Formats: sequence, C-alpha cells, structure tokens
Amino acid sequence: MLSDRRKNIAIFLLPSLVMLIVTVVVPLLYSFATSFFSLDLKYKGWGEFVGLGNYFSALKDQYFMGSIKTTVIFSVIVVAIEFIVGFAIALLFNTNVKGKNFFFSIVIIPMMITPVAVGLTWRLLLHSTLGVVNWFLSLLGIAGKAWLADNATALATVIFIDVWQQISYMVLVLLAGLVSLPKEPYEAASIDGASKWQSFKFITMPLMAPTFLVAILLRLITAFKTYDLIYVLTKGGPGTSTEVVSYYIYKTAFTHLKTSKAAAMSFILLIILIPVSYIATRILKNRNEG
Amino acid sequence: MKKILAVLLALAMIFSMTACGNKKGEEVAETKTLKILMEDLNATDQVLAVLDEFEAQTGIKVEAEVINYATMHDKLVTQLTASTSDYDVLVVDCYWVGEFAEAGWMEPLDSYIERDGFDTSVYLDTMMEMVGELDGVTYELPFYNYMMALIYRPDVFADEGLHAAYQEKYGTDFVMPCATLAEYVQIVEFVTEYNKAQGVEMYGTVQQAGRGDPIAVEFCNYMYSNGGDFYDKNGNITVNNPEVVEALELYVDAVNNASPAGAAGFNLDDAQAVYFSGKAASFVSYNTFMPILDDPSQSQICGLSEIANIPGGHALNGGWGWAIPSNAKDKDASWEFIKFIESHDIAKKRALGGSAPTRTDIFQDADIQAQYPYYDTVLDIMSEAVMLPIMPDSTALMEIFGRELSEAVSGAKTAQEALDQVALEMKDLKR
Repeated sequence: MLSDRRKNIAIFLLPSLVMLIVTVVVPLLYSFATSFFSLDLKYKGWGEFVGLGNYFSALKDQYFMGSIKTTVIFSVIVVAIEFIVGFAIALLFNTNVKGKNFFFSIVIIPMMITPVAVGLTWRLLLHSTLGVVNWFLSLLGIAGKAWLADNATALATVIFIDVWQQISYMVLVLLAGLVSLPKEPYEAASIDGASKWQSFKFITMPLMAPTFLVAILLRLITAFKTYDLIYVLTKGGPGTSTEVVSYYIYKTAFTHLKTSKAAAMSFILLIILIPVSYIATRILKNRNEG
Repeated sequence: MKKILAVLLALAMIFSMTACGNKKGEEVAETKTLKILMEDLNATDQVLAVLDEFEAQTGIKVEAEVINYATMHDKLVTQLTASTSDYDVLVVDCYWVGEFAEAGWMEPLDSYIERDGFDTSVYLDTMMEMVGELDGVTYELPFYNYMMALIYRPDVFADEGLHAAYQEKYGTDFVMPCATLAEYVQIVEFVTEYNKAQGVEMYGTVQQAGRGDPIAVEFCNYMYSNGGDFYDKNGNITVNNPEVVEALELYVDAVNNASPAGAAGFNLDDAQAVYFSGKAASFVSYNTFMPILDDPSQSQICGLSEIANIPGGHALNGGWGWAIPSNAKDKDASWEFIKFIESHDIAKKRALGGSAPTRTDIFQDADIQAQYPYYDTVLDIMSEAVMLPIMPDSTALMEIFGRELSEAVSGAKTAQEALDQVALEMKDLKR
C-alpha cells in the first residue's frame, strides 16, 4: 500500500504527467521514429526504412548547414545585445529614478505583442518607398535604405527588431535578480568604505552571476528557435541571408512535404540545444540547493 | 383559485420551454454547414456576396475562412493528410494540382458532372487544362483566372520630354508596349532615371522580387517571354539554358535600376501599394487588378492603367479551381455548392463584381464586355500564355526557384550559378 504522502504526490502529479506524455513524449517519440523512414506527406504510410539516411542527407545539405550558421550568428548577437543593454536598463530601474513605473510599463509592452504582429508592423514601417522610417530619415537629409531587401542590412535589421521586442524579457529577469539580492553585503561594504563601483564589481556581479547565466541560456534557446519573425519579415531572403534553421525545417516539412528529413533536422537541432539546457538546469538546481 | 392559476402558468411555461427546445433541436439537425479556406482578395469577396443566396436556395450554410495566400498551402496540407477534414470545399491554386492529385486529396468529379449534366465545355480550354482535368479525370471546376500581364500607365510613357530624352540617349524612339523583354527593361530603367533627374518619384516598374512565390511567379513571365521554360517537350531540364540566364540578368538589372530600392524584399502587397499610389509606370502583375485599379476607394490612379501582353509575348497563366477534398464529410453538399457557384448566372454576377472569368460564355457576355472592354485583350494574352508544369513536386520546385532567384537578385550568386543550382535540385523532383 502507498503511504498517504505518496498517494498525495501521485494524485497531484498524475494529471500533468498524463498531459505531458500525450502532448510532448508521444509526438517526440513518433517524430524520432519517423526520422528513420522516408515519410512524405503526399503518400500514406511511413515509406521505407532508411536508417540514419535522413541525418546524413541533412548534414550534407548546404542550405541546412548554412541556416544553422545564420542561426548561431543571429542568436549570439541578439543575446549579447539584449543582455548588455537589458542589464543597463535593469540597473537603472533598480535605483530610485523618477518616472520608473511609467518607463517600466513602456519597456514591457513589446513583450506582450505577438512576434507576427511585431513583424508586420515593422515591415510596414520599413517599407523602402512608403514606410515611415525612410520618410523620417529623408527629413533629416539621410538617404533611406532597403532595410530588409539588402544582403548587407537584412540580418542586422531582423536582429534590431528582435532586440526591440525581446529586450524586455532580459530586463524583467535581471531586474528580478537585482531586487532579490540580499541587502547585508552592501551595508557591510559601505561600512568598510567601499565605493559604488567597488560594491558593484565585488558584490553585485558575483551575486548576479547565476542569474546572468540562466537569463542568457534561456534566451539563447528561444533565439535559436526563432521562426515567426523571419517568416513575416523576410521569408529567409534576400537569397538565404536571413534563413534560420527553424524556418528551413518548416519549409522542408510543409512545402517540400519531406516530413522524415524535417524530423531528422529537428533532432539535430535538439542535440545542439541539449547541452545548453543541461547547463541551465544544473545552475538553477545548484542555486536552489545553495 | 390562485393555486390553480399558478399551476397552469407553470405548466404553460414548461410547455413553451420544451416547445422552444424542440424547435431549436430540429434547426440544428437541419442546417448543414460547409467550410472553405479562401484567399483574401476580390474574387473571394464576390463569392461571399452570393452565399446568402445559396443558403436560401438549399438551406446549406457556407462559412469561408479568409486568410493570406502565403499560409494557405501549408494550412490545407495538415488538414488533407488527416482522416477527416475541417474543410468541405477546396479552392486549389493551379500549381498545387499535381501535388494534390498525386496525394489523392481531391475527389474525382466526373460522376457528379455526369449525374447532374453539368456542362464543362463552357470553360476555356486553357482553364480546363490547368485547373480542371488531369490525365483524363476531372478534379476541379475552374474558379477564376489570375493570368499575369503587363499593367502600365500610357500617360506616363507618353510624356514628350521623356521621348525626347530617350531619343537623345539611344538614337531611336520607343513605343509602349514594346516588342522584346530587353527593350522593356531598357525603357523602364530610363523612365526611372529620367524622373529621378526631374525630381519626380516615378519608377519605370515595381517588381515583387521578395523570396518565395512572389519572385518565382513574376520571373516566369520574363523566362517564358524570353523563350525559356523549366523543361523542354521531352522532359529535359532547360531552366539553366542561355535564354533563361539572359532573362534573369534582365530581371536583376530591372530590380537594381528600374524598381524602387527594396523591391528585392517586396511581396505582392508591397509592389501593389507602390503601383496603386501612382509611383510606378508599369508592373508585371495579375490581370485581376484591373477592376480594382479603377475603384476610387482602393486606387489613387483610377482610369489611368491599361493592360498588354508581356514584352516578348508569353505571360504566366494562372488560375484557381473548386474541388472536393476526398476526406470531406458530405460530398453531395459540397458538390451542390460548386454547382451553384459555377452556374451561369452566379458566375456572371461574380464576374460583374470583378472576379476574372473562366467561362467562354461569360467572357463573351454583352454586359461583361460593356463593363470590362479589355477582356478581349485578356483573351488574346491568354492564348499565348504558359502555365507552370503540373507535377507532384511543383510546390517544392517553386520554393527552390524562389530561393535561387532571390540569391541572384541579392548578388550572392550570378544568374548562371543560381539557375545551375535550380537545375541540379530539379533532378531530385518528381515529375
């Protein structure tokens, strides 16, 4: 017989466990299994067993590898900018600056908007002949650019838009970390005559380190999966300059209808992301225990 | 006494409640509802306008889910691969036909056509060939045509100063519409250059060179008009032949020197907005825009546009068809709707609203001719127009084509390199 405690655990755990199995584990196993076959959405059934064939053909696919490269560049730059600027904003919000609540609300707004709406809005703003941005620049005597249509600027523009939207997430997480820092070390430091810079460098930074890592890693994972923004803004173009890996996988599955190959690509993406999420969960666990 | 009255009242209330319930229940059982996924454009508006009429005639309600074209194919595919579909009637773009037929997603209509004696000989042959029959089986009835063409502004091209300056630079005058693609690109580039010098924002053309379908379909007009095609008659891949390479070089040249900056990222809406706001002298686009171009609520250049064949003479033909998904729940009801919407009177009503016809009798109808006098030109252009290859992997072909053309436009590859890559990947496509 189960003890009462175990019974309670089972009762509370069971519903979410069932949900997880049905919506996450089963599809995951299903797509893992299909990645070894030649399933094509046009035809019924799973096709032939091809072993690791789909994995090899994905790794040999220059556009898939190219899209991984673009995704890495995109993610690293986006997370770096969001972290640096986001931390600066969080530090500002952590002081008693005037109008803090007002600006805080403004900073949080972009996070509430769906990426598709953000993309469509920016697409209109950045229209080269009819958009507001180029019109405004022309008033200042600056020649506008074809922001999303030029190889030289397309990726940078997408990065800018992503930063505009996602920076609020960084601000939120880092600000939460700053607010929850203990007061005692700061008091002790000020009694010992430490300057503001010293207490920032020797107290804030080390204490915030785990928060930094978690914020960066979690954001890195979501940046790696960016899809909707690209879909709305550029469809991967011009050429392949903004083609990220999630968009390429989607195209493989639903335009080319090569479901098995797309499944194999997804698992390659998963293999890349597992170490990142493993480190993130380890840090979170250590922090909770410590 | 009061007690009796109260009991009576209560009984009356209960009775009336159950009566209501019954009536409601019957209605639910009786009303059939058909769902369709449709593209957000004028031809769809014309269908929406007659749905009440269909419901009054048959008691069948039709719900149309109207969305942007870019998401339609992928949304349909996920429905069609399931055992039952949310959609009871399909509208199928001409280049999905090969894929949908190969997958068995469309119900053959021959038995329905025969049973009800529906006359399919009224349709233009090109339309039946494209969005009607495939290998002797009728899968669709043609819904509307969206053949592309050259839409241009005679007033802009007639400018005397423009002609004089052109003559000075090239030693000859020009006429618009001109005869060859190379001449067209030279003229539209000159229009852009000339107007820029005058300080006027007027581009010779505006292209939809954004990656994906936009650039792929627009470039087909250039390719066909320059004598190229995807395959030759024997099924050999000819997409990287010299005439196609030349067409792509001309296309890229026009993007860089005749279109507004940013055209390399434009989709249909972006290019349309530029032309409709009066900032471009021509654009290669859908003939279905002509009625809207003369509608003051949507266009700033009413009555100024004319339609002509693509210089070189071969436009991209296109069209949509009505089909029944093979996993539809009530196929008879679906057929009832298709039969209604394609009947002569309803087809005429839709055509009068600006939905581009597919039936010869509608094209020749006196009322239609009076309202859209340029339909004779449209028919002429259509007689020389070329359609995309109907093959199981046609959507994949367009995706590859769109990606590589965009590579050429962005300067990442030369025209030859880009088309060689298309040819290479076409070898793996099922034809």
